Amino acid sequence: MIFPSSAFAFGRIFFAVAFFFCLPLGLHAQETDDSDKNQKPKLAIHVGKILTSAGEPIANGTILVSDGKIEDIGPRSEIKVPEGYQEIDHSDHFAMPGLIDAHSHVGGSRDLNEMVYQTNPELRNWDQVIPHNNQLKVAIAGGVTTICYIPGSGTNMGGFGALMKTGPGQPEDVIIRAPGVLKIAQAGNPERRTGETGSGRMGMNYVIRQQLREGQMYVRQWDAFQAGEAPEPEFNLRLEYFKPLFHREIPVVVHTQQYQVIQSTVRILHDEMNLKVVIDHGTFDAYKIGKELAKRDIPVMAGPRGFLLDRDKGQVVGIVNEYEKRGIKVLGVNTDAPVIPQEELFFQASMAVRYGWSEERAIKGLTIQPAKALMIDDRVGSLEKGKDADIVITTGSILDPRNHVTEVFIDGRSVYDTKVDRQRF
Amino acid sequence: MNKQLIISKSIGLVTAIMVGACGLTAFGQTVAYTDAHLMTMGPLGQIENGTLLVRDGKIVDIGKDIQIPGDARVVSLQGKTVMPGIIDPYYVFKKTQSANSQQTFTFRGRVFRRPGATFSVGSFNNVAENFYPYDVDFMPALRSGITTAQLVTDGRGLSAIAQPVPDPTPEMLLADTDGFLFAKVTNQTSALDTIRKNLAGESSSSSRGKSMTRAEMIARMRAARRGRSGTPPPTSEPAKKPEEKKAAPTKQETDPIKLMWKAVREGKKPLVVNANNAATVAHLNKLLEKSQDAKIHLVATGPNLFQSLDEIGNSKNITLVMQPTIDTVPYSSQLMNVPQMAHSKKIPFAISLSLNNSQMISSQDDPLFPIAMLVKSGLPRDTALQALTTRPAKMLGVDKTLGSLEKDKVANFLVFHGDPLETGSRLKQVFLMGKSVYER
Amino acid sequence: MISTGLLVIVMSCVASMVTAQDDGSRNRRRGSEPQREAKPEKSETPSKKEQAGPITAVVGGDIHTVTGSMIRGGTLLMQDGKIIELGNDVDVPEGATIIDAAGKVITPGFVAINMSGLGVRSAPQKQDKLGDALDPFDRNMKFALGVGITSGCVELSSRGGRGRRRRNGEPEERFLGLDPNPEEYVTEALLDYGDEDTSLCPCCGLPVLPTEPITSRPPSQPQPRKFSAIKLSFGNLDSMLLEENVFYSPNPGSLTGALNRHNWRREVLKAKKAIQAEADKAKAANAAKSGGKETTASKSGSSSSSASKSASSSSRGGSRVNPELLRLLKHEIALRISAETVDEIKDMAELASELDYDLIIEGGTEAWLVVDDVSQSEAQIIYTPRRRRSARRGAEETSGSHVGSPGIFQKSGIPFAVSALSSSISLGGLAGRDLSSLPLEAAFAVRGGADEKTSLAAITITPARMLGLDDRIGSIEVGKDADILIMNGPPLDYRTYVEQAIVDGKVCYDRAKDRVYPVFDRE
Repeated sequence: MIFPSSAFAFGRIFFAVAFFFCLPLGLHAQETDDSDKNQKPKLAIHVGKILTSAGEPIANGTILVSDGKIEDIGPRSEIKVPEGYQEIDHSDHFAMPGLIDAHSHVGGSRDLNEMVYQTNPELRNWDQVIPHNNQLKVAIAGGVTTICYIPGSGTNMGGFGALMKTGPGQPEDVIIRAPGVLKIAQAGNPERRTGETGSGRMGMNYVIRQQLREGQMYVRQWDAFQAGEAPEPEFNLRLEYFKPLFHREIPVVVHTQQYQVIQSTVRILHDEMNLKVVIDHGTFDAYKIGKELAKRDIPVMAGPRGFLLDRDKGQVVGIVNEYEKRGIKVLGVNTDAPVIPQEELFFQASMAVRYGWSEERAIKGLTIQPAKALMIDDRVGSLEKGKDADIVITTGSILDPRNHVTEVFIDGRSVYDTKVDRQRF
Repeated sequence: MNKQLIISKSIGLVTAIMVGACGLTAFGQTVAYTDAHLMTMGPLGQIENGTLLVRDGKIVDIGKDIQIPGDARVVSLQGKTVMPGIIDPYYVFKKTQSANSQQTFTFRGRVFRRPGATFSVGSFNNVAENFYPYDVDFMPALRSGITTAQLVTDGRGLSAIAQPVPDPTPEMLLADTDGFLFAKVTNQTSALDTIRKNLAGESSSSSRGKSMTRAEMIARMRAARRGRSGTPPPTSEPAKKPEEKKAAPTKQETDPIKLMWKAVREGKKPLVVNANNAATVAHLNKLLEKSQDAKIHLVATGPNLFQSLDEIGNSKNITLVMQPTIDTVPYSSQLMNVPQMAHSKKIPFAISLSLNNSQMISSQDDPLFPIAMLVKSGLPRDTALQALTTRPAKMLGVDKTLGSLEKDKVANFLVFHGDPLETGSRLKQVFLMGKSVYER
Repeated sequence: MISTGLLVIVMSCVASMVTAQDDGSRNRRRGSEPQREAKPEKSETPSKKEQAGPITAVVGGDIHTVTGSMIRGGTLLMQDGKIIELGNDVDVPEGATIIDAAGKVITPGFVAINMSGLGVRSAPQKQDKLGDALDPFDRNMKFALGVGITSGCVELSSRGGRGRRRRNGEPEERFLGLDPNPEEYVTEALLDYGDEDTSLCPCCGLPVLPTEPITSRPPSQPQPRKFSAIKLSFGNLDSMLLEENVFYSPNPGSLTGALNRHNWRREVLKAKKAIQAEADKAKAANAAKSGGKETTASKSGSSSSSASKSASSSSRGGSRVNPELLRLLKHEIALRISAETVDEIKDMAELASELDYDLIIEGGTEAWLVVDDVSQSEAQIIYTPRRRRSARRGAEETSGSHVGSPGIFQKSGIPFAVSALSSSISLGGLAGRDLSSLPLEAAFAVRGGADEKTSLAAITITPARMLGLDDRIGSIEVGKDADILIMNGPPLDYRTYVEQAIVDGKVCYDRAKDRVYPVFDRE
């Protein structure tokens, strides 16, 4: 588990809470690996073609894995397999980094909306994580190894979500970072339909700004205290997780779509609040504001909708490709699982390619790009020396639905193998 | 001149109007409208500085250098343009708002429904019997320069031809024309069957023969349902037979509606069909293959109509009635001029101003603005004007008396400030049977 | 000269009819893939060319015939909506319109076994004739043609659909006053208080589990759903209607439970008796005629639908037999029924074997567990590879769906047609989940272990056979309808687009002109 350094101040409390929640969750965990976690296998995986997401593909490559990390990677001819490494032959298969979904709701229990308050920065969903649950088991068969498990969009600020692996283990094994992201929802779903503030976009924007401003003030007080410039402020659990957010150590993923709404996302969250922002739907005609997003280097993880029917032309327009055309660099797809089944993350990219995106960008849009957007690219998203050994072995390009995943490694351990398991997807 | 003669010979306009219409212009008085630009729409074409002589609601003479009788009142229309009154071949008058009463009143032996009476969509309506002349629906017509209109309802029935007058009476219907059978059709079996069976001459059991109360129908339906789900229907089968027998003797060959259909089959009378999508047009065309003689006035308003223009063009028996709008191609923002497309495919057509009802209601003094738009975007000017006047006159069978400015025709004409198809030009005055009935 | 030509045509027609009878009529359902070779019938063509309309040639493409072997760089000639010649060494006649398909892939038009909201503007009701509701200008057809669907099976809704019918703001047309059959609208307007067959508890409104009926209410007689096959010949109404009533499709509930099944058996036996009686009668009549003309004999044999009609009418004196049921028992149409679980599938397979009719299982998510039963009953399956059914707790290995089902079906020789996740075109933006993903769904069958050929057949000839229309659609063969796709890549590749869709010899879709899908060149 990685904690943002600034979160250290409340680390004590976190652990105290963690102690309570780990116990029951451990019981709920579907499959607990009895083998010693510390003993991670040493592997040499020989692959016909490696798509690294970090440079050119490697033909006939070898990946050395030890201690859950990639020890070395390169052409088979150049890698010397040290003694004691189990050799796995996938020389007729492809390897690629594990897929990352920047928008998922299936990492645990699904009660992800607290509907009393319009903003809920005090809420966090990593207490609800159910590692390796049934959805995630199938997701692994679709190559998904990391998800951003976030609260729903029932309110304007659903709470903080966790970044987690899909493999088996205890919550502390699978969670990559918690708090991982803040979830904000604008327009549409969070509309208050009973008539109070927030039944329209003006109200919602006010509610969001007001809450963020409160958090910002809180964080500034603590920063001043730590710099020795001010007395110690009163601790406030409601605002505590804003610290990593305003220190730009975690991003805010925004349920935002349509041109006008994204415009407000950019203005409020990026320009005004200076947050790390990830556009996490970005569908309908939102791509039209793409150039503004590109100017600010805001990542877009588009989905679950993949196309727009342009009413003027009567023609289908591929949303991801339209972003690409407007120069979005960090660009990927999401499923909003269970809206699209978690295992079909790759297919979101396939359809984007069908509508005009390039295959190379699509592979990156499934791996390194969401890792960058979620600020975990130091650990996952590509096959590089020192990164987590999350490796997906496929019978061909994962984008082609005719191919399937034959084996998946998460943190250097095989968690799905069609030689042993029934093909799940 | 003899009053009676005019009435019987010209258009059978009934006395009430004529008597009531003796405003400024007394009978026998000749009025000469001079110095006008006359768009006659007839063999005379356009006449600059022409003179129009009107007496007793009729055009007595028209031309450039004609003798103006000494006793004539001279009205100078310097700088104005005169064109024949517009004939609307498909004027849907809708049920008036609200009111749940179905009260009727009798006027000179005819039964009329009070405002508020509604026409149930789909049922057969004889317009002449159900028409209520004081309906607000007719108010925009005059303002739009419509001097003759075929009245239809939103369903099907027998139309009537009328002239809107400022003080309407039931007699504003043209008495000597029967009206035409009209039907709104969709691509559904029930709708198509109406046309199909009647065109084929099948004696479909008429509504009157088979009148059943709702309760009876429900009972029968329930019985049928029960039968479907296991037990044999005990009553439905035998119940049917005596009913049919009963219907048989009441069958009459003299049923006027059936005779009308016969005329349609033989091509003596056209059938007015409203089809609001291209699919229905295609189905209609298929039906017409079997009855070669039938003539159809096809009122086609759907946005995808343009797709069936080729099919319409192949059929010689179809005359189109279109709305005066620039359409957008479905699922697109591309504009298209369907009348112009029809013209280029050599399909004869008339334009019904009232089909674009909202435009007609909102237009104040430039009723031909939509036509001007069509002309500006490619529809030939003459075709457009004919589609408003001579073509519908012919379609309605009133071309002997209406539709153009010619000698001995009825003096229905419009005075515009300038060219009617100039967007800035305004309708100044409407004359109905020589009498000014609307003035701006 | 002309008359002899005509004679040749008539002769050949009779001959082809006879052959069709031979290999088709009895065992049409299992379609034993006769691997017909694409042989150009040279003797026939010259006379045809004189008589008939213009010829279109598609030249240079790699032709997936589906039923035969692939023809690389082949030529295909079409005339009057039919394929008239096919092969590598076919001469293009002078004056033929040539479509250059060099570097392109050619397949037969896809057949969607489940289709809705396409080519039929408003959901036709039971009393409506499908033929009257067809809309040859329905733009949704372009989206289907754009992925290669040229024909498909639509269901006529038995009730409801009123909401959808008015979607274009059209007033409802019922013609209350003069309707020749007043029953029809009364059903609609006044009897709208729920279906008697719904299994909702009348007190609490909760669904009632399908159990044996405990009341004395007679079990419901199977009331078939109505399916019809149409072609997506955009702009061409005449060729749209392929065939009505292509299946006998009772509600799944009506064949479950002992009482229902008893009733079903009784119905079937009654119908069989009626067929037998009809056959005896015909035999007697034939004997009386004592060697009448051969032609009439073959005619009466071919027009079996009329025979079934008369059978139904003759038996009407006693108790009615559903004419569709007669067609089912004569193996003219198949019984299509939804069955998902092991038990349901086994039951349906057993009934089909016992009562001897052709069975098409719709759904079949657990069919992979009972392939023996399925193949014994010679049933076919309509399958959606991506549709999942979770396993029962504790029975993970013996329940639920399996991704590998298509492969298992293929190995067991069970024909399956692929159906998309949704039967209609959706333009809401969720990509790859509606009818337009049909070929992609077939790609998922490849993922599930079926080979490419079988998966392509699952959206072409297999559904065509299920519909009983494999003499017209589903493969590229001489004499069949010219429903052809010209694609820019392999048919099941997710990147492939249909460049042109030809239906009945006419180009009904052109990617570059119609522009309903993105148009670009892939580097």
